[in-house]
Amino acid sequence: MRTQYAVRLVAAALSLAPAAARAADAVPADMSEKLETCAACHGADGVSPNQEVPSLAAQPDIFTQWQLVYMRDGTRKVEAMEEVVKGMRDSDIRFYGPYFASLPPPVPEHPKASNAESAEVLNLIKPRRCASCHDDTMAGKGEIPRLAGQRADYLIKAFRDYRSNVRRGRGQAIMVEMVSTLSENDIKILAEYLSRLP
Amino acid sequence: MTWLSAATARLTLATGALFALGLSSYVFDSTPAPAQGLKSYDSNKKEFWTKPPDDWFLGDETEQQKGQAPNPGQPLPTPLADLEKILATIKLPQGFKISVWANDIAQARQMAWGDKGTLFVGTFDKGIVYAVTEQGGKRVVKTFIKGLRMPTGVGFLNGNLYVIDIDKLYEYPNAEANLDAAPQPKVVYDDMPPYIPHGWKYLIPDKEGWFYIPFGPPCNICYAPTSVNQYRRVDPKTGMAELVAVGIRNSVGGDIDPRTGHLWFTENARDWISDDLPSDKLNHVRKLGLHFGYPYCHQGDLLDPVFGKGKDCKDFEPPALNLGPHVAPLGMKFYSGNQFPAEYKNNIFIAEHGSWNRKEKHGYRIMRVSVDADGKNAKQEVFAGTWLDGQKITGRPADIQIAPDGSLLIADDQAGAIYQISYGK
Repeated sequence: MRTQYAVRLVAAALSLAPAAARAADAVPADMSEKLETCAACHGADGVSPNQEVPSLAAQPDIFTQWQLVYMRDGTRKVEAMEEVVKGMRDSDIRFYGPYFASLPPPVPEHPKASNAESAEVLNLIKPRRCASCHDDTMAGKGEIPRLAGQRADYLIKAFRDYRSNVRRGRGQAIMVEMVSTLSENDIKILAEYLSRLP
Repeated sequence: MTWLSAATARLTLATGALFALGLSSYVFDSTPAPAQGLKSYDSNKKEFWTKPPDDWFLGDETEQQKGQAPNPGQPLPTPLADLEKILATIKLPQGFKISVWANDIAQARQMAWGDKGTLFVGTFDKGIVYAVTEQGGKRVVKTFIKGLRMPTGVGFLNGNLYVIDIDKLYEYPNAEANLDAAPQPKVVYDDMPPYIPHGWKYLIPDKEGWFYIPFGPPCNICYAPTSVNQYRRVDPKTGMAELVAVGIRNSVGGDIDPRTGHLWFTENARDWISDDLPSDKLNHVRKLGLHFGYPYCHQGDLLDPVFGKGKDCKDFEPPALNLGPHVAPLGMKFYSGNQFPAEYKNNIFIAEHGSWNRKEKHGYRIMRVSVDADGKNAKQEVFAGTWLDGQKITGRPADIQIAPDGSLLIADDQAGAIYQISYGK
């Protein structure tokens, strides 16, 4: 486990250069080191190369802050994050929110043409009124996460976690209801669709 | 059902007839099929409150109300510099000023003074109780208790701190002498339903050293179990309790009128009727055994569209004052200090948490109510506000306390701060 982490860290450090250069003036010295820890799993540009690890790039500021606070309080339990959030300062959290929000969103490998949703997808999305919270573009806003361009395997994990009530936090009330009637196949269709939104 | 019958049996009944009133109306309506895409709630079933849905606070909505939900708050307390900018926008009467008294105090709810000058502050689902002290001229905020469920209500009597956490009234003996590590608490009263919906409470100490405690229904509107919709009076020394008043929805604030010793309390009215109905209330418990109307009659003159059938508002105690729709009145205090001008003596200050079940935001301010001791001639005016920047919420007043110097302290559970309003100089 430790070796694997170290390997990732090195790999991340090597690939960190472009992102660091772009956001350099905005990042205080003491934060760049901490950002390397984030990059190790979430990717240098906040675009995750790792299975079931979410991309953070272009996530709404307040959403990221809430999740870090939930994880720090122990409300939301994510084993891989436990060491990271322990002792995380409020000022760190206030930095991470706007920082990740400022990164360009993930570019899907096979972007979906707009207005090309299949009837299958529409039947899942329309009655659940996903856009009323996640926005028409699925870019999220405020405390609501961006879904567009998120890794499909992570979305599947998130859907399952909501469905089994493992994922805690204030969005839980509505999301449990939204996903409780989704089949495994529905989840895959939705995740695939959302991950391909630009 | 066991806790319910036990609760009923163990309550010292002030008025036995009140229970019969609740039970005789215990009829389930069948809910019509919901319109396509609209949320619908049947909160009359026992399962609804024993295993409440996560979104239990929502209700049958109209097309216009789609998507309305309680405010998510903010992840972290507002930084000091931003608090000062916000306070600069708060309007006050001539001669008053407002400043930050303490910050970094996430989810600050009810406040209670210890004998030696410690301010204890409850929280919502943070589950902690803070102790704010002065050390070397600096105000220090410390986490005193943690790991509770929703310790919104705190009180201080005879050197002990009392914390009410949904269904447990804890006593922390000699709390101020043990600020470094909270002493092991003793449960002094636990005859309360265990569910979270409207289960967060408030403690109102009276002169005899008992606490008035509100019990909200586990729903927006329903025929609830007979052990809720009420105020009880509990003696923390013996665990004895008596029923004081019924027909009450969600109350999270009240105070004793220093002129009469009577309990007054704020009440959050039901949601999902409309933006402008019904009004939230200020109630006066002028005698034991009053029924304040819930779930049958709202704001003294509005029969509930479902539960009001066959009822008459004349049969229920009207509010001393209607405070306005969805303003969410929480903590309140009779002004007993000596700092403010004489005309403020025995006026009531009310913290309005602010609306969510409404298109345009309403509330988010401190109201001043003047009223005669017998409950007559009540009128209100805005005292401090508003914590709104357009439709953006900049703070949510949750409780009011009077400082020893006669200034007013306001707990804000969104900004995570306590403000001080003082007069003169």
